[in-house]
Amino acid sequence: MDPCGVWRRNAVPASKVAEVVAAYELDNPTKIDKIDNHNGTFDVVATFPPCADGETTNQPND
Amino acid sequence: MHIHRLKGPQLAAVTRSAAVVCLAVLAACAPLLGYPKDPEDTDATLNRLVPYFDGTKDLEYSHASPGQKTNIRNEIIFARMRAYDITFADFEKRLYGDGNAVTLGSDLIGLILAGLTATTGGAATKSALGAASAGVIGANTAINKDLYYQKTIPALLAQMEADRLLAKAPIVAGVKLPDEQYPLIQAYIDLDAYKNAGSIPAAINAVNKDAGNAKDDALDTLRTGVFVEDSSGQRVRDYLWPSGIDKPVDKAHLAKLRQWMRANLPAGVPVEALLYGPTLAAKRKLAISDLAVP
Repeated sequence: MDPCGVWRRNAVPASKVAEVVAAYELDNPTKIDKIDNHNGTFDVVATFPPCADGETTNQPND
Repeated sequence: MHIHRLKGPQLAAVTRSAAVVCLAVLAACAPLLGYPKDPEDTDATLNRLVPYFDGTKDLEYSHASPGQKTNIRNEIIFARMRAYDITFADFEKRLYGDGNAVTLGSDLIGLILAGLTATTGGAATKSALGAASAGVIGANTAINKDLYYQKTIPALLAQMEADRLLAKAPIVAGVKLPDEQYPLIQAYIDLDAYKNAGSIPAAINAVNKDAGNAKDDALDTLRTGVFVEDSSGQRVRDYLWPSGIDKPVDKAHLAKLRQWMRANLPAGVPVEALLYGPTLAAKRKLAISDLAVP
């Protein structure tokens, strides 16, 4: 089964963002967002196709 | 041991003896059900409850005055619950008992027939007894394939008991209400739920749902987390991108890693989570060991 929904890696050092993005891209996400935390880190959010139950995320506060 | 060929009367005698032994073994292997003998004649009770199922009492209810309806409704509810309890108890006993009888009985009969085959002369006799033995043991082998089913019976019964208790709650609450607030038609819906809660399909559904929820919870804990880079993660990363992260991934290594992930992680976990997830450090080490990652 391929990944579905939203997966998120928080507090990624700027120097490691490319690695995280490359790793996510192995599973063909529909999009990848990089959110600057303005403290030298980023949150990397990978969105995959919706899960079978219709949920796109387990993160209601996002 | 002197072995001689059995003729007609002797063969018949051996066959009769084998049959007697088999019957004796079957009787000896009567399953220990694990339930005390019920002093109640439940068949008679069920017969007395027939009017609560054949429409007789429904008619009485529909023709009753508003003041009487609540009492008749409760009478119907309690009668039906009693009937469902009796049939469920019987079902429960048979679920336990049948499995024991099949396993122990056929094992011993199979062994006895095999023993007779070995010690009784005559090709025809050997052939007949051997076939019977193989048949019994073969049947038991097939039944043992259902061992998993047998072992899950206690869990399914526990689930059924729990589901029945849950389904009972609205009925117990309902009988305290007047008929206007808890009419018979609503009670029937609740009673059907109570009846169905004591079935294997409902129990399997409930167990599977729990398992599915647990799987979803496991995935949810992996979906988000802070970035962690440890030496294991770095080694797996270098295994995937031996020429550097900005170069193409090693497809053979990626295929091996995916195969390993399928066997060791919940389905649907991206490679990224294995590389950098804070809760998967032990899995990273295991992957390195299993895949002989340099």
